Amino acid sequence: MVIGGGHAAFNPEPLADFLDAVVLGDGEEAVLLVTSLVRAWKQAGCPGGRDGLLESLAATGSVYVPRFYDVTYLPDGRIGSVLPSRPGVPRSVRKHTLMDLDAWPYPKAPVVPVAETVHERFSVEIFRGCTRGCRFCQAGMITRPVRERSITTVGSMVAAGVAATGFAEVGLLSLSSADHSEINEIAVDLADCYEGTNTGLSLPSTRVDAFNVTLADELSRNGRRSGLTFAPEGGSERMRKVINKMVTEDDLIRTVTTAYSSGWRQVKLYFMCGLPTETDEDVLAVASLARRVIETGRAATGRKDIRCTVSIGGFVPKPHTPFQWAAQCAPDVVDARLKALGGALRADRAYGKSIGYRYHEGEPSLVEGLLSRGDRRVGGVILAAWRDGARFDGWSEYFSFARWAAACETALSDWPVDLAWYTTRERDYDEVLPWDHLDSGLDRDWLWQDWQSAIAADGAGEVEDCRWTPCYECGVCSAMGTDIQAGPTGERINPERLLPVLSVTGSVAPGQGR
Amino acid sequence: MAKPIPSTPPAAPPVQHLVVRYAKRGKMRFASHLDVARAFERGVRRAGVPIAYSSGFTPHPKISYAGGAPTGVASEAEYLSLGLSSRSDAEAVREQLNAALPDGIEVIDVTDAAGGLPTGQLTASEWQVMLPGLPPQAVAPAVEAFLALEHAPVERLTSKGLRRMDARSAVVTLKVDDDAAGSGSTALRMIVKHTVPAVRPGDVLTALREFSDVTPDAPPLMTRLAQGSISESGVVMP
Repeated sequence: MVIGGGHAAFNPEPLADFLDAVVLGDGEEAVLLVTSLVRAWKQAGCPGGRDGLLESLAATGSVYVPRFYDVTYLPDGRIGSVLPSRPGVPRSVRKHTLMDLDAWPYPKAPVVPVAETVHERFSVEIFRGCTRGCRFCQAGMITRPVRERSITTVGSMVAAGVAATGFAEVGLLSLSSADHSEINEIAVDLADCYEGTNTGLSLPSTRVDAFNVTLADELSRNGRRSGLTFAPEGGSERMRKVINKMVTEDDLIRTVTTAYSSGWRQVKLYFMCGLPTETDEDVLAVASLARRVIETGRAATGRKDIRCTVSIGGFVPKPHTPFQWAAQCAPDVVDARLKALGGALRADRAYGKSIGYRYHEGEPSLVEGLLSRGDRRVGGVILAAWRDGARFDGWSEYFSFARWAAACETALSDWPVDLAWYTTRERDYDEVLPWDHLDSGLDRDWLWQDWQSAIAADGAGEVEDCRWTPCYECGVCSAMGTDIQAGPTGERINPERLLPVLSVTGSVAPGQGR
Repeated sequence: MAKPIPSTPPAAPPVQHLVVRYAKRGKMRFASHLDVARAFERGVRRAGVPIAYSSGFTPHPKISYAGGAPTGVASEAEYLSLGLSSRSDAEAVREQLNAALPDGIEVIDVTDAAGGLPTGQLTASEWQVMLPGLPPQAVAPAVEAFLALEHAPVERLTSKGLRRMDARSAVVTLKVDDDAAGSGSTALRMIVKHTVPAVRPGDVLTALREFSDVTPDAPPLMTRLAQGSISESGVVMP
């Protein structure tokens, strides 16, 4: 059995030929459900063979079995329908939502490889889901609602995990970690607990408008400062409105000033290129933003050695987001804008050396776009590319755009569709999307309205976060029977209860500390 | 340009040094020296040993390493020293480290040593080299011919480029160990001085191949048996 899961599972159609089943949503409980059904099937003597097991999985309503669905196509190449091909298989498959993260404090003791890994740290997921409503962000759309781990669970997970792994850095992970209702208390308490132990704390994804002085101080109190990365995503205020990433330029300047004043010498800024309605000016605005960052950083610190790195890549529209109907920007347009931005960043000598520039070229993004919004016919493209030698395509030295273009030519030759049809074509409201039968809980009409609001001629509309404003009826909670789970709990992490693992400065007696 | 100033006060110097002798066995011989060092840093944290840290922007645990065995080579005698921030019982630290370290790394001995790592006493190593599938009579003539030489220049590609060294002058003793290997295989024992660039047992094998093909059926299994200073009775560990 080959079973898929994770975020990419929300459009598994390009992999439909290769997968037996796909689990949508959170895995903790789903994996127990799947294994119990496998066990029951085996104990019953494997009735019906592989199909028999797949039928019992499909009947749960939250495991998708691609082979039990028939896809029909219209003469113009669009999908006509996606329907179950046998009784007992639901018309649509619902995602699984774990509703009490405190009851699932995992991982407890992850494998620690002897060889070096990419992120050498113990990571704790401090909450799942995000309702900031950034229109490009699939993760924020498919993981709703926000479910926080409580401060005390985070504390005990960190203590047990650090003791079990010996890592010198703790990562507080989520889609936007500074948005946890008690993030300051978590940071203060953990820094207190680990005072003098050289245990670093990092927040890998931090929103520009949620970063503050307390976090800056606590993140750098013990151990080394990890890098600070912020993602304004759009260079101009107008662009950020279109994507509903409502951070102002002043927010950004205030935040990086805090960071530079607190001792950071370098911040990274992430942007996207090729967003809906984007113009050359929107991308060039990144350059003036970066210059202002350096200027205010120099003024705040009185030093000239501060730096910022601009990192930018092509936008790929994702399923289950308001931008799922959008046309992906053509690679040559993306490349031209990235080149112009590079020129603008280098143009002013007073800033040039202080600003680093990294970018991803447009062509790989186009193949990502094909895989992101492809249907079952794209499976043939993947197979053709693989047969032609495609391996490790995420590594630029192995990636060949020509190979993928050729694979599209051969595998799609029987259909009135091609690479551009899947990527740079805007979709209509009426079009059946390949993932419409996979239910993330989002109301399709709400997504469409939000898409229309994003590209409205008189300026984009704003959607506020439902944690702090009334529900705007994205549909998830009512469809899935879920609710926002957020603090504050008012509790604190008690260092006494986390001992003896933290007694690093005390004298060692046999048996203590393990 | 102003120099960045670390925000934390300088760390206190270690109050105690412990010298650790450890073994690298089994699959762990494939771990590089850097990997082993990282595993030790984590093991020390897991064990709750009160390790001291260096000062500055990126404080590092005070662990010093004597030249590690090459990647792929097992060892019964690797050395490092731990700088501690509070005094600890050496035997207790040994037990705690062994409970915390991954399989394949075993702490054999921990001693209190005011001077830290006894680098001055680590001037030579005794190595065992197993040659699977090669009978002793195929190896012995090459050993004899090698020992009769005055110099045996060999080359090895290192991270610093192609290095030339004299394998013969570093070798103090080299013999076929009749007891160690089963029938049809050969075990070599050699004492090799620590030189710069280092002559490794693999380099000695390279030199032996000048005389006959001592390429075994399977890759040779090499183990550092002892590390220390040379005396008439062999390598004396510190």
